[in-house]
Amino acid sequence: MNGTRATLAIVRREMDARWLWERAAGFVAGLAAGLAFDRGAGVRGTLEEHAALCAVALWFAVNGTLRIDVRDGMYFSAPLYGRQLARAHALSALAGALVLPAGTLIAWSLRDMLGAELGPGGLALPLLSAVALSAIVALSATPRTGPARAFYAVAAYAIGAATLAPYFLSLGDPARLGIVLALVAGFFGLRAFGETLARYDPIG
Amino acid sequence: MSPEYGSVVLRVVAARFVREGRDLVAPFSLELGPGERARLVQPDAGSAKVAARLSAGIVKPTFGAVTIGDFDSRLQPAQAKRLVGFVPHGGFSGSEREFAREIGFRADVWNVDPAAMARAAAEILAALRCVALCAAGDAYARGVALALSPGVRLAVLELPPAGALEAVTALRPHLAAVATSVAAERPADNPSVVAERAP
Repeated sequence: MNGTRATLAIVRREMDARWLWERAAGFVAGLAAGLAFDRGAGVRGTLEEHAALCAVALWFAVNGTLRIDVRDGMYFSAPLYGRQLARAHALSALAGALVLPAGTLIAWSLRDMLGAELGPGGLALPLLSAVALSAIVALSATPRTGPARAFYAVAAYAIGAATLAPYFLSLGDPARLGIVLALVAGFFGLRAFGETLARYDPIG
Repeated sequence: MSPEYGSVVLRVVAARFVREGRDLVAPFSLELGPGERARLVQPDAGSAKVAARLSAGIVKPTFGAVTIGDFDSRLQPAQAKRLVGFVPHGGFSGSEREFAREIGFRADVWNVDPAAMARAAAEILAALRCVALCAAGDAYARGVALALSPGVRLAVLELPPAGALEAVTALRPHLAAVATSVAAERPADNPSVVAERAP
């Protein structure tokens, strides 16, 4: 079996026309927010404006991930392992979630503020880490229904907010903290999602 | 028969599926070689679906074992499912374009040539149009074409329309084939399993 070919096939399958249109809208929203809030010439957005941007980015990441149909019977009748499925779903979730912040990064580069936002006190790295981690945790909601699904969706928002907290509370090095948290929690989140898929019995 | 596997394509040993303390599928056993077919009779549609998915290695038995080719469906699920063409209830109801995309997806996942798979699917569709199966609608024929085009050894039909099992075995006589169906009254000696088995 060719794992890479299968992984890319799953990612392509999930990136249908609707997915592309929704991501395009997210990219434009991120671009517009970046241009509106960070006005250039060293004038950064206020904390409230950055909080609004982060809230929209987290919603976009979690909501987009929840729409991935991981319970599609075609995946479970195909010769794939749970971990292969998890990796492929994570790739499409991350690609979808990072589109909005990517628009903001481009806006910042147009305003000549990308360097400042990528620095230790900037928003770029905490935002990217939070969005990526929220998307990974939200994946665990996708095979579930009812209260369990709601729990993982809320957990995705909460861990995204926790990743952003050092930036908004001016604690330590928010960029480094965000990356470390995203790497550690993302690893365990993806592993848990893979195990959930491996155990999942599509009986509906 | 392929020399790389034994003469048994599907072996189900006392497989049972329990959910919330209740038997969704009561224990059943089954052994099928190339060219053999069986029908699993279940008391309701939900059980029939789970029985089909157990036989296809998609659902793992709570107790017992399902072996497809030489592969245990619980320990080697990917290798086991590679040998199975599973036709879901209702077949494939997508558009022509979605059908073509699904063929491409399957070619990538089964790691075979997409053009060869598309040709195989077209041949299966053309053959099925000549038999009564298409009275059940194009969707089911498309489902069968998708399931069989990767070159599988076991066909599993989940609640198929009348004549589907016969059409599939006529089309691919070397395949082992299982179909599930619903009957309110099941055989008393073996309540959940094989009501028909013919070479």
